[in-house]
Amino acid sequence: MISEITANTFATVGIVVGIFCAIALVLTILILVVSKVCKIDTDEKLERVLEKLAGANCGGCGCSGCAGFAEKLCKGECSLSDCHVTSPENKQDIAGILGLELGSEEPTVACVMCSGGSNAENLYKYAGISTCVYQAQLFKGAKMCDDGCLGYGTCLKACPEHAITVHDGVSYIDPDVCISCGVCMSACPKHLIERIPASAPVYVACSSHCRGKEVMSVCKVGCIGCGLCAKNCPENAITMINNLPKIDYEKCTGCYTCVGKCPRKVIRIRPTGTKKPKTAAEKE
Amino acid sequence: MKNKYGKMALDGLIFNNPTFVLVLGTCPTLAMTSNATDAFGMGVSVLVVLTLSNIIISALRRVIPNAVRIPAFIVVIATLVTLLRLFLNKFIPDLYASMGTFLPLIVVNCIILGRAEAFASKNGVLASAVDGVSNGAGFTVSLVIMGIIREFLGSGSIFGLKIMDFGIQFFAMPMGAFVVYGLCIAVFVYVLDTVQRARRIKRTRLLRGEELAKEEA
Repeated sequence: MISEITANTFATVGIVVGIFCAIALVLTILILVVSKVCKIDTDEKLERVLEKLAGANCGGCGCSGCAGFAEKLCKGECSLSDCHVTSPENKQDIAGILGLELGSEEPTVACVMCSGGSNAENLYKYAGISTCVYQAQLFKGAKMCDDGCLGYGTCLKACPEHAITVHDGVSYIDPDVCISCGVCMSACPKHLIERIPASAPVYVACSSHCRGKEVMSVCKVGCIGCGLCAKNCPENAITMINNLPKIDYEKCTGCYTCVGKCPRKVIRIRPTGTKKPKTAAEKE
Repeated sequence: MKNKYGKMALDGLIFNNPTFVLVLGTCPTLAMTSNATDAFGMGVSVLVVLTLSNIIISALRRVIPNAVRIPAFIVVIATLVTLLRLFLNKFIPDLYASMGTFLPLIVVNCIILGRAEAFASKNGVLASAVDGVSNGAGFTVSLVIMGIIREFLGSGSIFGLKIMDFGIQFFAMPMGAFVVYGLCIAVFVYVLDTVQRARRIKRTRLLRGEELAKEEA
């Protein structure tokens, strides 16, 4: 114990620090020498690619974080389009580093293709563990509709960016926060979440492929597959596939004719405050 | 003198086996024994670091001030592990990849710091080296035993060689590691206990025999 500080104390501390520094110095030199001997030719590209990646480590590409993705990219086992988080400018740079060709890509966001929630009839009252995954194992979930959002927020818990909230029994993804990593898409037991272009003016808020009568009986806001949207679209951007409209966003001009024609209000205008579609000048 | 080192070697290897008797260094024991090859690699890595750290620390034991001995030990051990990482990364990259994060974790392996604190800081260089090798060997042997058991039960192979076409996934997973570890400890301690009891009985009989002989005389 140090009871009083004297010159002697300082001398002792000095000696201790000196010895410690000496040991550390010798060992540091040893490490430096050995690291020179055991030097490994690391791939310079790898580090440069990693620097340009978004660094979200969301795992949406299926690799173990951005480092794993960079490694696979360098080996050519992955495609740059597997990553939806990295900005297009950085992707261009990565393509330059690796000598790849990059097709022009539009940024995408994830979107929940269901608006049922409290509008959809329940088959039974669920009182189990509050995750969609468990509920989906019991008679395909509590909703009578087989393709309805269960509203227990499995996607909400999976989202690395906290972009998802549950309103009125339906998950909602904030497109401003969404990085389109795709984690929610694989987390949803009903596969209701899809990627759409960030500039998409409308989306189809239903995933049910059932016929009109069946949908009518279980959900107030489900698509009945009448096909009015496809018939009235001036650009022929909508096709009916298995009683569900499919919008070709490359053709869509955002005239909102389909929104007005839909008798069930299933085709919806994207919520305001979304990422603004890029103008032609910006794209250049 | 020879007898002393022999006793020390046996002590580290069996009677105070760091894994099965002292239950030290459980983290690599559980994590690196899913196959015998990894277990062997881990064991040898620890053996090398343990021996070298024991030698260095016992050589420096009069120089290192008592108040800062633990940081000093850690500095020495961390250096050795760093060197080992560089070495493995260069020459045995497969082992380096399979050991992953458990290689740098050797720095905080309690067998190494434990031996430094309990033995190397109080004994000579040669004795510490023997102690390091024997404890390291004890650790390696324990890990390899567990690795063989788990690899055989988990995938029907030993050291990567397919022997039988069966596999119980349970034993390749972490809970299998715990079960195998527990059973290994139980068997080891039981055998050790029996051997030591037999020895003690023999010795008491010998002593009594001598006493009886004295009385008779």
